[in-house]
Amino acid sequence: MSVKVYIPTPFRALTGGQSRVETEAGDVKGLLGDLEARFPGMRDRLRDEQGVLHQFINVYVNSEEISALDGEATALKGGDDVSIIPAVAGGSAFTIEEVKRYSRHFLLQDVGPSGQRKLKNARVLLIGAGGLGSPAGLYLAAAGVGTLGLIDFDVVDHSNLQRQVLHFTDRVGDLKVESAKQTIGMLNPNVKVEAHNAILDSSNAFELFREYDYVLNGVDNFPARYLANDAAVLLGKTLIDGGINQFEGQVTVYKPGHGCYRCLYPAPPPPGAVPSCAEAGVLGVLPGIVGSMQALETIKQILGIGDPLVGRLLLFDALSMEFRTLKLRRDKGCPVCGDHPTITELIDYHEFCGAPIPAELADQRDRVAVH
Amino acid sequence: METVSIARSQIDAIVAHARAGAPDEVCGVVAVREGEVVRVMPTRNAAATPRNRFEIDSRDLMRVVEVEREGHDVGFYHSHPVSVAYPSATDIGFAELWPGALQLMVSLRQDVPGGTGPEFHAYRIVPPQVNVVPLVIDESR
Repeated sequence: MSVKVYIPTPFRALTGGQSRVETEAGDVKGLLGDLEARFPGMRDRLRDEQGVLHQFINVYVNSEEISALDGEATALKGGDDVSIIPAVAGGSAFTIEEVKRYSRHFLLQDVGPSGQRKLKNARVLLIGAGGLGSPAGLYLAAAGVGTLGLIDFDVVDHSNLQRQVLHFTDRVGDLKVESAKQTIGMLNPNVKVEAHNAILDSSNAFELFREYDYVLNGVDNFPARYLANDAAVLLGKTLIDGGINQFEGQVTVYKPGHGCYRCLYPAPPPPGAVPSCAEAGVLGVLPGIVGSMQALETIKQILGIGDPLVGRLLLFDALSMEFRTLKLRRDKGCPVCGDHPTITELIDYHEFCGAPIPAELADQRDRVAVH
Repeated sequence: METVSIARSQIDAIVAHARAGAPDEVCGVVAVREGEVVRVMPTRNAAATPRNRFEIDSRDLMRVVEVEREGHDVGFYHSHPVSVAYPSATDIGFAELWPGALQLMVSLRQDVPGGTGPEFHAYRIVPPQVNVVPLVIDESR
């Protein structure tokens, strides 16, 4: 006694146009195996590389889905009718909530729905959820960048709240990445936040950078700055760089082949020569301006619009309210992106900068490593 | 060039289904005989995020076999509550499973006060190719 199988239109090219075939199999698995053996190409249409039935293939025995029966073990008897029907699915790019949220983008010819889709598909890594990472994270999330990676090992401190607008008073003591994730979720729940509570170092930088399209640099120390630069150069990632000190800031975009931080500063300053924000102070609004410009340059990169800040270093003086632009060129002798690079893998950046790992950092590192 | 004929009452039924389901997408199966839509069957949308996705509920998929048993060609319809009545990248991707099937699409983006009303178009998608199928509307049916 044979079983009749309904072959859907899309598969009939494989069955020589037949819409019904008959088989003698005793169960669904046997029946599918028989079809796979008889009709070359059928296996790929039904199963994945591991041999599992594709999710989008529905099999019915006498109009009853096999998932409601015994799956592929469902027994067959003579006269049964088996139907194989591929899923019918689709969808539009945006929900009504997204169309409303991004309506001002949709009005722009250079963005529009297709640009918004690029933003949605983009993955941006923010190094640091602090002064620069805060405005950058907020604006990238608001603009609809689909995935934001955040790496920071610190906890929210009262002294952060004067400028790190991702964090709020009641979060003091919370992990910065968790606080940031919470704020971004409140601003735009469509954004996926990947929180990495870790110290960026030579052991994890490659692994992390590889996961993202763009890296936005919001670090506050020289070892991390050189590390982020080298990792971006070695992986061919575009680094949207920013820095602040007291009343001044700078922004640039290091695109592979167009120079890097080491072309500008081949060697770090002597330890202690350039004080950090924690030592020298920083005006509260300044990182808001610099981080926002980094977010803007990131969005321009994603959309492929305008003139990017590649090969140019933008300097901002908050007191005189002046912007200046310096030309940057790739240095052929650069040890990492030059014609004959001597740095081809990540090094020990604390040693390179002549700075011992601060005790709290070493402590944090141990703590993080345990998890 | 191929055209497909459809009754005004069938368009009205699909638009009514789309409006009732908005802001979610809705979907259904249609039967086509010699270039004429002869039956419209609403189905359930089983997508996990129906605001901008549809997937014909597998419990309703046997409609496909029914249509073909009757000797008709199978086609589908779905709505785009806020975007154009043109196949999205997702639509084109999934058309891989039913290449060349008639796909009717209704958009409600202009179905608002002061708008131009629902938009209705037909396609046959053979990824990545999207072919427009002009519709001839039979106002008498």
